[in-house]
Amino acid sequence: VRRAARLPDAMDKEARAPRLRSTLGRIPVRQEVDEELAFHLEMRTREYVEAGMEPAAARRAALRRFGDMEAVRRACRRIGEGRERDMRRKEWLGELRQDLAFAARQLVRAPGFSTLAVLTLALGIGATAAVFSALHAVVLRPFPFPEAERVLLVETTWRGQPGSVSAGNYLYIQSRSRAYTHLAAAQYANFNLAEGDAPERVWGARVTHDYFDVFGVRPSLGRTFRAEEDQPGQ
Amino acid sequence: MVNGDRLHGTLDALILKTLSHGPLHGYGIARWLEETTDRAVTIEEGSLYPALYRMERRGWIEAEWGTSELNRRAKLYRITRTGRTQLALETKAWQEFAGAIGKVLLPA
Repeated sequence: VRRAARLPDAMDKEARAPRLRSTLGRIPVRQEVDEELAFHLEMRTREYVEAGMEPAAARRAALRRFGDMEAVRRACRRIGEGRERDMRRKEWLGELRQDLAFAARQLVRAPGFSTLAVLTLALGIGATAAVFSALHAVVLRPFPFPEAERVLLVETTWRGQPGSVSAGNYLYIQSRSRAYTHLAAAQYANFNLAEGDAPERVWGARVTHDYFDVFGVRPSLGRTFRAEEDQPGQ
Repeated sequence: MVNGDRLHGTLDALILKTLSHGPLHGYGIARWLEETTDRAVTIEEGSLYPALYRMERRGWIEAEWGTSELNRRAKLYRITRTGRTQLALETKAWQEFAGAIGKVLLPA
């Protein structure tokens, strides 16, 4: 009845007040409990003094009347902290809801801006994803064979310029070096693959027989080359 | 049904009823109950304050810092709308409980 008689703005202010108090005016639960219990003790002491007791005796009597103050303090703190947690969660959810509603209203109010923002985000995310994909494929993705850190590319240098190893040098290094488990040579080349109607140009390599041993890979079908196949005239 | 819930509920109802007359601090609630019942009911501080914190958490009462009659800063409790609903429920439950006990102890 009292509430109905109030002006709308007064009701509005009242509805907002608990929230303000909980965020701005609240003191820590620990202090709240301490102050409240100290107040109680002081009032009870005063009551006993007014009834004719000596102040020190009155205080002792008030403490005795209270009982296990530490247990009460602990219980109140625990419940009070739970209350604060509940309140924070409720406020957080409320604010989130408000923010989302506000954002939605703003987006609807300015469709041009919204479209621009969405496009900017889409392009930005797309570009980042593309760059990352390339980087991932080139830099980050591991080689498709095990122990890649043990595989080396051997080159020769002539007049300061790196170059490929000649067949003679390859045979020489292979016969003398003990540093490698396998040493294979490869020469990249194009091949014509003619099967059916349309011949196809495929990118491949001429390799020595232990080429696949270097990388430790096996073909999923058939076999790789044997040592005796890797002889002049074969 | 006599069990812990009934006793808990009774303490809650006594506190809510006391606060339905106006805001009070914890000590004030204890004194008011003692005086109203001619000291037949003395509230243990050990259960009063945890009960106040529990009821505040449930939203039956709310608290704010105010000034006591002696100009001291005091935490004042106020009953909320849900608190009044709870008081009505507890009062009804108490009536039923008292009526049932009365049938046994006070036969017509």
